[in-house]
Parts: sequence; C-alpha cells; structure tokens
Amino acid sequence: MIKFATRAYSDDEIYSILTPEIREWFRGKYKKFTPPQRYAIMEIHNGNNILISSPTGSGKTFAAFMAAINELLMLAKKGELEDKIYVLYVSPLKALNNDIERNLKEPLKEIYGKYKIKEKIRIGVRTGDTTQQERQRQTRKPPHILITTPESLSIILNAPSISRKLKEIKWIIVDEIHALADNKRGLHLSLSLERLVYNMEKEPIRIGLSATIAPMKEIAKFLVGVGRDCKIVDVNFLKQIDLKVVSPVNDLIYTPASELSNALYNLLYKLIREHRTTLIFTNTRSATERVVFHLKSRFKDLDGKIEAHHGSLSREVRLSVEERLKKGELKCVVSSTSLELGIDIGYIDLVILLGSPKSVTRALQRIGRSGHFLHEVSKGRIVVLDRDDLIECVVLAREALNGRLDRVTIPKNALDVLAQHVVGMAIEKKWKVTEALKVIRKAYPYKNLPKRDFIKLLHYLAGEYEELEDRKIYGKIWFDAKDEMFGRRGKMVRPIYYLNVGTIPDEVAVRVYTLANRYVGKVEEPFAERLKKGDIFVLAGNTYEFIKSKGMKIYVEPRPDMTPTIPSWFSEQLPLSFDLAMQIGKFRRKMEELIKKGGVVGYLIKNYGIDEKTAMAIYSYFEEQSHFSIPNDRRVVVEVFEKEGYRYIIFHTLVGRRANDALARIFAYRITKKFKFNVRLAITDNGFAIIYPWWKDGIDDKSIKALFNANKMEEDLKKALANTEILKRRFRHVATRSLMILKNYLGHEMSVSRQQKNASMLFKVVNEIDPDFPALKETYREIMEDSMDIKNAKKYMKKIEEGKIKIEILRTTLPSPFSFNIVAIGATDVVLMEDRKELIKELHKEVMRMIKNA
Amino acid sequence: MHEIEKDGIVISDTYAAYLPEHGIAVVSDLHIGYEGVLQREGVMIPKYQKKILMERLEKIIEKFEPELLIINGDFKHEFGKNLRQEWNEAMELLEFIKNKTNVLLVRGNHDNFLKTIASKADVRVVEHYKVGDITIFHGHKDMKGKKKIIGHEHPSISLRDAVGAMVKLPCFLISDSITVLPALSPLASGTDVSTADKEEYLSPVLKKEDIENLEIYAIADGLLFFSTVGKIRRL
Repeated sequence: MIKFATRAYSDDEIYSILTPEIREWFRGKYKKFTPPQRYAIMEIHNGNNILISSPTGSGKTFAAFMAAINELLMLAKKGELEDKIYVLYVSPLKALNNDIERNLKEPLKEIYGKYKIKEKIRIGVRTGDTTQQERQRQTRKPPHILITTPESLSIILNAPSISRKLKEIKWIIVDEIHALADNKRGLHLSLSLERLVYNMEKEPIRIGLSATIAPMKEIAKFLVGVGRDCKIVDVNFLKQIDLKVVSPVNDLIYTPASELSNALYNLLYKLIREHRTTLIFTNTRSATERVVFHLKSRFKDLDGKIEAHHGSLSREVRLSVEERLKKGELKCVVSSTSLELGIDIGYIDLVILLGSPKSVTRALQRIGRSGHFLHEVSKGRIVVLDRDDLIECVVLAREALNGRLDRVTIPKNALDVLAQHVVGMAIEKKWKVTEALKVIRKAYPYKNLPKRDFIKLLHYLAGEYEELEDRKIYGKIWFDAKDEMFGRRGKMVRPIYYLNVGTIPDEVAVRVYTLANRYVGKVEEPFAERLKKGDIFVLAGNTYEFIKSKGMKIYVEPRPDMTPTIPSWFSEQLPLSFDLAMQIGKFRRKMEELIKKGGVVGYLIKNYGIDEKTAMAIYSYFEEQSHFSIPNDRRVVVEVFEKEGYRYIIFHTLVGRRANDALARIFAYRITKKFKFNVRLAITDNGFAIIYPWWKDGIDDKSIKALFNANKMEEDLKKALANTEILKRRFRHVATRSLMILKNYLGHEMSVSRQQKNASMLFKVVNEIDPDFPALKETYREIMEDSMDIKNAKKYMKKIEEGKIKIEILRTTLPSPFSFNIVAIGATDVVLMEDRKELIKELHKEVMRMIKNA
Repeated sequence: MHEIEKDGIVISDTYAAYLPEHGIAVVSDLHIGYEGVLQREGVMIPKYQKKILMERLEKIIEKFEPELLIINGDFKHEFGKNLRQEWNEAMELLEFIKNKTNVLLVRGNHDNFLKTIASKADVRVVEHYKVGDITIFHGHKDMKGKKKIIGHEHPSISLRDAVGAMVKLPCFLISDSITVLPALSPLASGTDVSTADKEEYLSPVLKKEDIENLEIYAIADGLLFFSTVGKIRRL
C-alpha cells in the first residue's frame, strides 16, 4: 500500500527514541524538529519505507539519516559495530555526495568531540572519482555509511569483495529521486536496487528524497518497487512562494530586437541590484553564456561577480563557481539545468527564469532554490520575451501558485538498460529465466516486462541474430533456450561490464563558431557533415549560415532574418508539458469568451495578478487572433497558406511539445503516403506546420480532415521515423547502452565519432535482418514514449473523433498571429516518402531540374 | 536504364564494369571480413556481407556471362593471420566464383595475406591487368595507362531536395580516360562526391584527374545519370 503519512510526531516522541548524545546535541543545536523530520523519523525508526518531498532548507537530510545514525551510534557505544555497510546512500550527483559526506561528518565530529564513544562510525564515498587505494581500503574496512552514485552502485554489485559487505544493509536512501524517476538512469537504479535486495534475509528500509514532483504515488512505487508498502511525506505546501511574470517592455511585438535586448538586460540588472544573490535559469547552455557575456560587458560593477554554471563547463570551473556562491562572493549565477539539483549553493534570495520553464513542476523546482530556510519565501520572477511565452507563463504562474504540478511519466520496459543488468546478473551466477524475471519484475518500471521480450533479449546477448547459426557472433552470455537458463560466457565479460555500464550517452560535439571566433554552441557530427555552404540552420534559437568546417569545428555567420534551409533535428529546447498545454487551451477558450463579452483586462488583473500593461498585451494578442480563429481546448484550427514558394499547413494542436512531435510526424507520414512527395516539418510547443513546395498538389479540406484518424497511429509514427536522423542518432545511444557497441573494449576507448560510424552501419544491418531486434525495438520505444508522447497524442485524436474537439480549416493569404512562431522556426525535420524507389526517382528529377536551372 | 556503354566499357547497375570485346567483368572493394574486424573493436555486428556479395556476384555473372571476373582490389578487409572465420569466408567466396567462371585478383591496399589465401584457392594475384588500351588496377597507387579502371575510392552521391530530404547512393565516376567503380561491399563507406573537395579524394590517380568533369552514374533501381561532379557540387 502506498499512502500518505498522516501523523506528525511531537518533539518528545522523537527524542524518546534517540540516544542521549544525539538528543542533547540536537536540542542544543536546533531545538525543534522540522515538519519533514516529524513525519519521517519515527516511520523510518519503525521500519517503514518512506518518500519525503520537502523544500530546500527543511532538514531533509536529517529526516532521512537520523534514525540510522541513532542506531549506529547505539552500536558504536556498545562497541558492536560490525565491518559491514549499514546505510547505502545514492544520489545522481557526485557533487551532492561530497556535500552529504560533509553534512554527516560535521555533526558526528561534534558528538564525538563531546562524548566518549567507543567506536567510530565510518563514512565512505565511492564514485567514478574514487582512487584505487581508497577502494581497496573500503573493501578491507567497509564504511558503515556508503555514499555513491547509481553507476558506481551497479559496479559495486558485481565486485565480489565489497558486494558481500552489502548483504545486510539496513537502510537505502535515494536522494534527488525526482531527477531519476523519469529517465534511464533511474530505470538503471531501480534494477540495481532489486538485484541488491534479492536473496537478502531482511529487506532494507527504503527512503526517498525528492523536490516537488507529481504524481507522488508513482514516485513512491518507483522507489520501493512492486509489492512493498511506502508512506509519503509531502510538505511542500509549507513553502511560501512569491512568483510573478514580468515583461521587459510594454510591447512585445513591435519593439525592435535591439531595444528589447537592452530592456531585458536593464531589467535583469535592476533585479540583481535589488537582491543579495540572484540565480538566473535560462533554457539552453548557449543562452547561459550569452546572458553572462552581456551582463558583464554592459555593467562593469558586475564584472567578477557573475558567472555561468552549466554542464559543458569543466568540473573545476563548476566547483569554483559553487564555492564562490557559498561564500557569498557572487552577485549572480546564470545556469541552464545544472543548478536545478540540490547541491548546496548557499543563500539565494531571487530566482529569475528567463523564458518559460515549460512545466509547472520545473518552475517550482527552480524557484525552490531560493529562500534557504523553510520560513523564508521563495521568490521567483519569470521574464518573458514574446507573446506566446507571456500567455504560457501567466497560466503557468497561476498553476504553480495553486500547486497544480504537471505529471511525469516513468519509462517502462527499456530493453537497453535491462541488457546491462542481465549481463551483470550473469556474471554473478547461473540463472533460471523465471527466477531472473521475478527479480526484474520487482522493479516498478519493469513490472509488466513481457517474457517474450526478455527471451529475445537473452538471445541477443548470447550473440544470436534471428536465431540463424551462421550469423552467430561471440556473445556475452550463454543462453539455453530449452532449459531456460543463462549465465556468463568467458572471462572478458566482467571487464566489459565494469567499463561500459551506465546510461548517459557520450556527446558528439562539433563546436560552432562565428567567423569572429565567438562560440555559438555544438551540433552533432552527422549534422555538421551534411551541411553545405550557404545552408541556413537554427542553433539555440538563432539562425546561422554555414560557411566552412575545419576538423571538429564549423564556422557560421549569424543570419537573424533568414528562414532555415535545412532542418536541425536536434533541439536544446525544453518541451512544453502536456498538462500545462491543456491549461493554456482552457485559458484560450476563456479569453475568446471574454473578448465577445468584454472585460478581458479586468479579469486578467483580478485572477492572474498581473499589471494592466501585461493584461493589455495579452488582450491585444487574442483580439488580433480572433479575426482568424482562436484555437483552444475544444477547437483545433488548421491554417493553409502559401509563403515564399512553399505551402504551409499549420495545425494548432496544443497538446505539449512531445505529443505535438508525434502528431506532426504521423500527419506528415500520412500526407507523403497519399500525395507522394516529401515534406518538411516545423514543430513547436503550440502546434506544428507541414511544409512543401507550392508546385506540388494542393490538399483539400476533406483530405486534411481525414488526417485526424486515431487508427494505426503507432504504426504510422514508426514508419514516419524509419528514415530519420533522430532514429539513427538514438540508435547509437541505445546500441551503446545495450553493449552492442562497446565504448571500452580490450583496453581501447572508442571515440564518439567512431561509435557514430559503427552505429550507423549496425543500424543498417540490423534494420534489414531483424526489425524486431531488441536494440531497435527499444530505440523506437524510447523515441515514441520518452522523447515523444504517443499516449497523449492518441488521447487527443480520440477526443477529436468523438467530436469533443472540433476541426476548423482556414485558407488564408497570411499566417495568423498564433502562427508566427511556428513559421519562424523554419524546419524541425523532414519526412520522406516510404517508397524508396519513388523517393529516388523524385530526387533525381529534382536534382536534374536544379542543374538545368543553375 | 540498367547499363550504358562508353568506349568499349559497359557500366551497369550490378556494380560491375564489363568489357564486351574481351569478355571481362570488373568489380572492386568487397571488403570481406569487415564484420569480424568490427567485432574485434567491440561492435556486435552480425555476418551480413557474404550473402549480399554472393547475390551481387551471381547477378553479374548471370547478366554478362564473363570469361573472366576481375576483383580489382580490396577483396578482403584488413585482418590478421589468425581470423579463421574470415579466411573461410574468403575461401568460400573464391570457390563460389571459381565454380562459375575464371577469377583474377588485383592487389589492393587492404590485401595483406592475400597471396596465401589465393594460392590455397589456386587463384592468381596481380598488381594490375592490361587488356587492349585499358589498365585495370586498384588505384591506391598511381599507374600509367590510356584508359584506367580503378576502385579504392568507393564513390557515392548524396541527394537533397527542396525540403531537405537526403539519400545516399553508390555511383560510378567516368570520363574518357578513367572509370571509377563503386564498392561492391554494402558496408564500406567512401567519398561523397557531392561535397568532397579535391584534396579529400583518396586515390592519387584521381587527384591528377579533372574531377570536375567526371560524369556521375548512381546505382538505384537502374543507373541514374547525374551530370558531372562539378555541377553537382555547385548546387
């Protein structure tokens, strides 16, 4: 049973279970317990699993560790501590591990300084950075509390000497679980935990720590696995939030770009000056650099007091920024996502979100980085830069203040992550398939893993392709299909596992510079390879012309006003969440109603806490759109028009970016199939466009309506993906995760570009001989379910079929205001005709036509 | 169109060039054993090429009924002495051709240990082969000749249309003085003639040629003419 903890214990009740030393130390230092501590400590003490979600500065760490430390200290006093690991702490961040070590060591030092206690409680950190000597020391004398990462845990599981010391763990603490539950690192951890507790005499108590997230029950299931109870403590409501949307200018549409940019930096400067320490979140790494650059060069007094912090920076740089933040030496730090997690960064009194954070949950997590103590207000300002952003953020801010979070989904049955663990399990011992399945299905993301998928995976790991003998290659395991048994093959498997375990793909980085040598960002190598001189493409929201390439660098010139000629299939942008999109749809309907009745501005000021100027901006945007038609949660508007030699069909489907992505590709596939030409796609948060040369056929209303068909959506999406770069790129990730391509083998490290080349070859081969191959199947699943959202796309289409959402087709000469942003992004990808013969014929015709005209 | 004849050399969508006057078919770059080499690098790639290579060779022999089939270099990919499986595969393929017609191997740059395999299969290995005014050689080193047929380069062409759709096809490059064969291997990647600069070409033979004016014939379902390298590059 998963249920919410309902009882807040009193100070006296909690003190009564603590050893006198801890009791006195705590009383002297903190006096009272914080709310999460009141809910959690006794539950843990009583042996219950628990998920704690509470704001920064609410004493989460003690809530999680107190019960364990208390018991360890009791043993230490009696001299009964054994040489084994009692507490396992896992967090996704190495930096956090060091914080935790410090936060545990200090109080212990104070307690040991004050009282005479027989034995020491040992704390050890084990990550990829841990030295060989330290590892050996840990094996000889294991720490009582082991602090580690998901990746290191999976290695420890297969290290014979230390894994033995794990057999009697009593507490497992998973920190920052919100950063793990919706991705493959989390899936990987969920399997590690099941492997860890398998065959244990007594199951450990599981403790999860999370920032604000929804749905809590799903996260709790993720933490504890199938068939175990868990209590949930959610005290996020205690945190007061002050959240406002601000626009740097009065008029977001007619203000020239340079003026807007001036106003933006002046506004940021003003906010930074008014606060002690400001944390600015941008949505991309390159924007982070840009903001720092501009603030530094415009305001000399900020020089030396403002820094960037993001994943592309070296570890040393990041550590130094964190250190200076903690010491209060910085006025401002600009970050993309790297400071979202709970690293200790000291006192922040304002968080600025530059551009929409695209999800209520993310907004709250980011804003939650300010106001370090529970009683302090978290202060956040969302700065909007265009009208779509404005509407989105106004709706978002209200949802955030009302605590309506958008829901995350936990990926299910990912076969690549499972492949690693199967190899790990095989190294341990021989397994019966049924027994192994039982362990795997205990992990919540794998609870419904079909047996046939598992068997197919075993065949693959045993080196069999479509069960053909002459295609058999050297496998990592042996698999006896008749007796349903598997085990390790050969001595090489262990080093292969150690060196290749993990879920984060290597990034392929071709760096992009302007001719003036300004760093713009990164693109992937295959993308860089296909660029031709004069191509215009989008990177981090700006358009650039490709000039030349030199090694792993390419050079470009900014071309702000030009339409991209080549789709950039990668996107750094955060996707708008489905739930928030639904709320925006409702908001649009309300606006439409009020435009007819009057009273828009008053309503907005009253209900959304915005000023008149901002309310007017929203009003005028909707008023302009109402001359076309306002798409909303009950009406999907389709616009058809021609522009610069291309025909645009714009679908205002407001279902979140991930579901939009799926819909767009399905529609594009259906068009290419019926009309036999290739199309270009432009996908945004608010809708998508299908674009093709004007000389091709027109598409009549009946054919457009026929696209809205809930049948065979998965099949069509799969076919639409078949020829795309996304599929090939994702396949590289999945293939390396599945140990199909070994990044580290026989002492050689495979470069990323080599991985890429090998992956594209592998893709071609596998695609031809067995389309149902586990790594390929997982690639499709990952794209369709994790990076896109086929489930919600289907729900939406059903609603249209049921008539709950009406289709309205407009044939216009100009794009409507709501279409501007969709038209402006140019192209996200192309969808090719499925019929390769036809496709080549058409391409040939076109190339020859172009040569004739050249 | 499935084939075209120029000056006594037929090129076709079978990946082979055929010399009707002499009854000789020429193919290049089979790269047998490529998968094995990749496997040893840590890539779990299944055996894939053999079946396709056999199908392609069978088609060539059926279509032209040549008296002699010349494999113009890189019959095998570079692999060490002890790769039993790759050796067997190479032998199997040679036997397969030998059962149908005569075969001659021209040495390529990847052909270490070729002599050992060839002598076992009783097949001759040469550095080049001259017939009439035509010189057939692999092309990793330059050679004199009025008309040359080379491999080594693995030329291909990538096509892009108005919406950005992209497809890559293997192709022949031809002029009065030279014929560059596409790779028979379905895995080997090579020079993309639609983007490559002259310096990026691999073969020293081509570096001396007037690349701009080489005509492109791509292999799809049939042969597709794509004008010249220069014109395609300027698009």
